[in-house]
Amino acid sequence: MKGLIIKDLFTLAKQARVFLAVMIFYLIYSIATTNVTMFAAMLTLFVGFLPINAMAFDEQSKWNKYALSMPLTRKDLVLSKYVLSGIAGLIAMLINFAVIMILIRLTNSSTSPKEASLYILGSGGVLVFYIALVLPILFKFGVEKGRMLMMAAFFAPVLIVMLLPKLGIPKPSADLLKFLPYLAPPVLIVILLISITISIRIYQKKEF
Amino acid sequence: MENILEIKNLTKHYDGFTLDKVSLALPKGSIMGFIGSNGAGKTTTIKLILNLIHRDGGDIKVFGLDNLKYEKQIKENLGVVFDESSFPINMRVPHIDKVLSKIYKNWDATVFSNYIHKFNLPVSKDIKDFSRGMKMKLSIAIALSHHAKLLILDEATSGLDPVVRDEILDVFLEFIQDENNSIFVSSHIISDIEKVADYITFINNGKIVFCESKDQLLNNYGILKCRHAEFERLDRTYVKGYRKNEFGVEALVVKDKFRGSYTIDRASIEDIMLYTIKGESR
Repeated sequence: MKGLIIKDLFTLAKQARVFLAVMIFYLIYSIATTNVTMFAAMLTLFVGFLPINAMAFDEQSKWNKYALSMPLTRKDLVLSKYVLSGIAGLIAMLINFAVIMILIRLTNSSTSPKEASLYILGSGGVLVFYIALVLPILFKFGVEKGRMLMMAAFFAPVLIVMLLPKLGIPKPSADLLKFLPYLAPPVLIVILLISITISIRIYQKKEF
Repeated sequence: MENILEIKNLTKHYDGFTLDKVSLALPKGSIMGFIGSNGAGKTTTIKLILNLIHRDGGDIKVFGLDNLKYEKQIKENLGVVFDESSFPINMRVPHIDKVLSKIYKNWDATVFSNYIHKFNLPVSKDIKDFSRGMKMKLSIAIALSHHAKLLILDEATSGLDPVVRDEILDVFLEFIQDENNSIFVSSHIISDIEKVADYITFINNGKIVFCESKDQLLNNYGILKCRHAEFERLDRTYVKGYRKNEFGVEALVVKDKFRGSYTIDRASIEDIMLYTIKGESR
């Protein structure tokens, strides 16, 4: 498992330069527009793509077949991608937190630190939800075929939120929104566990 | 003799292809060549040994252990080389060394670096810039660097030039010097197999045609050349396959059964394979 994570980190590190350049661009953009959350949103988005990039590299070199000839189980291969996402997500949130706090000071932004923290935690939650949704799809169809479905998965939540009022479902009340931060973590954990179970089951059945 | 790899009645169905009750046994300390044409079922068999695909019947024992129950334990002692499967292409040799030291309990960085030097592999180049031969050598170096007891190679020498192939065959022979080590190598390049193998298993259309020691095969079979009229009088039970042309008949026969005035030439493994597949039988 540890070996698999290190392998993914090596693979992804090669792209670090491009990644850094893009993030610096958004950092400057955030400072210039005093829109402190822009940077956080982009970083979260990119981090969401990391496990997908890693899987694309795996696919290209037919790594999974090779890995399974080593003392690694299918479960190891699946879990390693979730762990990778988790590590990347945590690091992203820490960076986001640091950057936003500094930006708020620097730019005299109207965003309060509390608001910003909630925003970061919220984006973390979205990331967890996204990973939970996307990884089983990728394990099932592979990155090439899964790409389209992935985009659909990406926009599905947006679409649902946009459609809700049209379907006559009322906007959540202020009370419900207040509870959301307490409600979200357990719900996300359950979703994540279901996602992991499904991914492992998909992978156990897979033929290489 | 102890068998390092034992397959019994292994079966796997696909649309249009069935691996049909394949059985074979590789004694400890020897090299088995697994030959057959493309699509005969070589890779399918190897994938089943490694549990990369799910079997429909039969069982497999590696080191005397069931390959599904003791999968992880077996794979610690297995070195596998695939035709086209490797580390992500933007990695380098030192990265691979680090990763594998976390995957194999017995990973030996010194042995690995020795092989890297021996094979002249570049340390500061991405794998994507490796030639096919270099990639294959890298895979072999990896397979040999965790004190594996059994090497399984799927078409490891095909697509390589004769010099590199010879180099690799030498490495195999060196590996087999330790009598605890064994090799199972599939190939359709029969000359390579003939050079190194002790046993030869021939698979055709998903079925095992024979699984015998190489010496026995070469001793038992011969190419008999005769005229059409003579051929009609032969005992066909011992004719494994034949080809007719306008001058006469060439037939693959069991040598011992045709004493007397017949001209019987030595049959190579390739002859045996070709006559059995393509020659009209009996």
